[in-house]
Amino acid sequence: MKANRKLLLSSISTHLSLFILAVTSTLLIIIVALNYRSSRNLVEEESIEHAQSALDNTILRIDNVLTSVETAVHNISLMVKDNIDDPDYMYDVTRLLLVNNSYISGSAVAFEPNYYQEKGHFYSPYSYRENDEILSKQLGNKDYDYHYMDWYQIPKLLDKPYWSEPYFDQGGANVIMTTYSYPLYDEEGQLFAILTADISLEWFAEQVNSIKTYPNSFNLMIGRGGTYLVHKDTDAILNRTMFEAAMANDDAVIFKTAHDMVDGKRGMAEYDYGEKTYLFYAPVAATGWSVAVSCLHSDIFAKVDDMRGKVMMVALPGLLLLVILSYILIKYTMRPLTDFANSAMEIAKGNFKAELPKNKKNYEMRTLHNSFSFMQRSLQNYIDELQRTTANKERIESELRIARDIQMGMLPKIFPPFPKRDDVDLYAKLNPAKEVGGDLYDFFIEDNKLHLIIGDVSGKGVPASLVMAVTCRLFRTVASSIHIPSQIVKVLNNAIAESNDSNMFCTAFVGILDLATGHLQYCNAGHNPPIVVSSDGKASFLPVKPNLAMGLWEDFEYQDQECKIEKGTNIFLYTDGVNEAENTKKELYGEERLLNFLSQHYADKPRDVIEKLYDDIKGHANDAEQNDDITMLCCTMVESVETSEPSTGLSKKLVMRNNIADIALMAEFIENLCEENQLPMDATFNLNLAIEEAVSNVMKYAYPSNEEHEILLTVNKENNNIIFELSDTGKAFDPTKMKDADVTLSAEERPIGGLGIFLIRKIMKSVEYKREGERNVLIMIYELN
Amino acid sequence: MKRLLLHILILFLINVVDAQQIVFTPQWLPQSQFAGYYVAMEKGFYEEAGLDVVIEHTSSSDNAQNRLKEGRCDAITMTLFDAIINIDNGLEVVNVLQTALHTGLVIVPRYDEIKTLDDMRERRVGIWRTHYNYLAEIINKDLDLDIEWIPFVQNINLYVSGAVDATMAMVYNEAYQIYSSGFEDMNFISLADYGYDFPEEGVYFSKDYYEKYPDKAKAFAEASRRGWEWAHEHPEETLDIVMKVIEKENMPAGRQHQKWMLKEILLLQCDKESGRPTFELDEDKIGQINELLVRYNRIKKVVTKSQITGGKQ
Repeated sequence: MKANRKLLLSSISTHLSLFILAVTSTLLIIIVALNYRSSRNLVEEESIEHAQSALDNTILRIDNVLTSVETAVHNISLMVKDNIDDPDYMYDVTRLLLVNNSYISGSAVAFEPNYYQEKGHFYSPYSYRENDEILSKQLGNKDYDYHYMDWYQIPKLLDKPYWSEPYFDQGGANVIMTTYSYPLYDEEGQLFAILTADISLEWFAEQVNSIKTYPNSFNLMIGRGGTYLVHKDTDAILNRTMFEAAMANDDAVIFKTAHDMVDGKRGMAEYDYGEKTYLFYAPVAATGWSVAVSCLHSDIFAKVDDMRGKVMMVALPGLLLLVILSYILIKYTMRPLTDFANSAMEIAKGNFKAELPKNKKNYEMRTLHNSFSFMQRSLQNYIDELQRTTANKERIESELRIARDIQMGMLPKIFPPFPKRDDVDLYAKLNPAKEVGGDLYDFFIEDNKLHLIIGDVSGKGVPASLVMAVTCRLFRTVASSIHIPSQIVKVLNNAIAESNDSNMFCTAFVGILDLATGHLQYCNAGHNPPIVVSSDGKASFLPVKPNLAMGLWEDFEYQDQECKIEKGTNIFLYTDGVNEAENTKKELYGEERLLNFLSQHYADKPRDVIEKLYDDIKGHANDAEQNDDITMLCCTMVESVETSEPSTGLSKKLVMRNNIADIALMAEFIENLCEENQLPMDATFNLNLAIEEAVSNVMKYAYPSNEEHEILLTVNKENNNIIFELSDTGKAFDPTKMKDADVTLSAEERPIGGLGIFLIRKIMKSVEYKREGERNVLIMIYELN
Repeated sequence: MKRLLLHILILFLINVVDAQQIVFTPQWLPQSQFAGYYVAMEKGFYEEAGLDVVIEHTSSSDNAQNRLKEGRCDAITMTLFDAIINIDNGLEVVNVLQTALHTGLVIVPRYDEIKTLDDMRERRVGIWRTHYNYLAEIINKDLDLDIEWIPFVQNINLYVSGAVDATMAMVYNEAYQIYSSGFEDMNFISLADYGYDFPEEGVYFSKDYYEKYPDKAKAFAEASRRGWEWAHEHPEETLDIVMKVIEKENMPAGRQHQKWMLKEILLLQCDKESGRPTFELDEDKIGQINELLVRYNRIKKVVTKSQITGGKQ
């Protein structure tokens, strides 16, 4: 499930669909937002205009009425002055004012105290409306001292007409009203009365509340001190101020708005008491009041918001549909890709003829199909070619491996080579740069003399290896008959030089060391001079004459040299692969380093010297490819503890590899053994047969793999018995447990091995097997006569 | 059970001794200025003291002192200044509790350039038509300010319209009205700062009642004091109680205003040093008032503390 979801999320179809969704929804959001914004701005502007014009109209209406009242009062004031001597006429004056102006609900001419002596302290003729009638009365008395009323006192103090703040008039009409007070002065400029006209606040409220802007809008009017004069909450009227509302909410916006309104400014404020609200306000200039319209944002933008809602209602399912359709379309278009992927997987598995998807509807898929098809053909061709080349290469490699085995087989590779001798120790190593090489070495002891050769054929690879093989074989043959180095070299030289069309040559050092005396006779044919490391650690080159390399000049006369080798002195022979080993920086290992190394390791045994030196060379080369064969041979004459006896034939040892080629070594060994013990020919034949069977059994069954292992054969003579001990480190294998072969069957029908043990039992006096640790030990005893 | 018995007992006593009912008239309409008494009533402190108290408010056309004189009530509140003048004039009253220790009288200039009393010289200053005008007149003469006093009835329209240069105001009342009319930056000139810091309200019983039922009068004073102390501890709840009374009396009053008033009233009751109400009548202040009133011939002779407190020293 999880994997499916992951797959779904990572698919191109999903990615593209999501991308389309992201882009279109972003675009949509931007468009809707822009549209919404501009609509809002438009609506906002319109609403502001609408509200303000509604406000202005109302205020204009109020102003008109107020002006008409002011004018009426002003006109009537002339009548007061004209009839100042007739105090009772003042009732008519006030009555007339009410008749003339229907907005006026009451009017008084309030005189200064004792203006008319006969009328006393209070004289204020007053007319008012009651039930469509105009009634009159005298207003002032002890309980209603109008001289301290705002409508009287303020215009008197200010010396100018004054619209009073609305008040609840207990003395007069018992309603909330505002009074226009017009101070009257006598000829000396002395104030003698205040002429008034009342307008009920109710009338103002009607005007103000006639402004209808939005369903939830409301209107208000405040007085000079911010007192509510018109308000939806009737308790607030005359009792609370707009500043109090600001304080209660700690609202700086309302505070400022209230101030602006009181200061007679016009404008707009925005505040938020749970809902965003606009407040449009404008002053009633005559009275110093301010009218305001409060509109809810939601009211103003209701239509725009509704529109946005509708757009979103259409857009959201639209987007969803777009995503689904695009997903389906993309998935359909991309399907061949999945098929191609499957085909590619088939091809990757090796099926180059895998069928390709047939869908070729669109150009891209056609191109992809062609490319795939081309790739298939190319791959097929390439693979065929590769198979051929590989087969060839494998054949050559296998041949080279065989050649290498043969070449290596020519070299003595079993160390210590003279296990029965304790007076000489020798170790050699050849590491060809390629499968086969041109380096060679060989040695053998004859007449207690160690015959040595080390050589280096010019060039590398197969040609060099052929010359090397020839030289190697010839050395064995020649050196066992001619015991003079220069003569051996001469024979070899002539042999190589003869029919040497390819101008191959071979440098060589040939030496014959008398193990009894330490006398070394040698001939150096253009080879690196060997190094002699004395027992006190002094390493020096053996002085060599500049003889020519072999193969260059037929019948060249080589010259011998000789010297004395002390016991414990290491003689180190090598080819130029040693001192000329290069590292990645093309720096040579060098003769100096070689000398130093040998000097430091003077006390080491030949095996250690060579293995350590080899490691040192590898260390120097440091991953650089080996470019020449490396061959080293080191021998030393050891101070023997006992006087060494020449081989008596009493005890002999042969180390073989699990290589059929070594069977020849064994045959030679047995022959020599028999010869030394003067055994008759048939005994020699039988022994050879039995031992060969035993050895080949080991090779077959103990070492089924191709790895190289040693097989050790020791021979001891006790009284009349020759005891053969064959030991190996292969897997446990007891040949004595094998059933004797059914000799009545033909050779083809008999199972493998059975005949071998049958033969061995026939020839040997006894055959015994034991497993010693990791070793198989087969003891065979042969009785002489 | 105990409570029930107590109730029955109280009912019995009320029915029998109806004359013991205390009719108490604060000096003005219901507002936070009288919060302590409303609290004592609401919280049953009067009841607990075995008192049957009725609070009857005055009206704008009436006045508490007249009601007392006419026997329409037994106890009123009055400023110390008025009490001394009234006693001198022959009003027989006894102070049983002094609540306000300081004066709440301030002068609020209409214009910024007026900063001190001296700046008020020869200016028009609003003053209540019926209250405190003695003191105003005395200060006018005392400081030789030559102020033209403009009496007003009960609003601040004179001030707002600019018809006066300044107005007298109670810090808990008109000061708030001015403040809430958009004059937030007004500068108070407190009379207290000019040496006229006289204790204001106290509770006065008619001497007649006081002599007849001294224990009741004292119990009323004690329960009222409890009411005020409770108000000091619980200003918010007190405000609720005040608003309840105002609504019951059908008076238009904003909670904001009453809150402001309560705060200021409680402040005036506190001793400047301890910050706590003491409910004590300061003899030195009585002396200062007497001195002023005698000097400006408002009273004929000095009114002593013992006269004010009905013989208690």
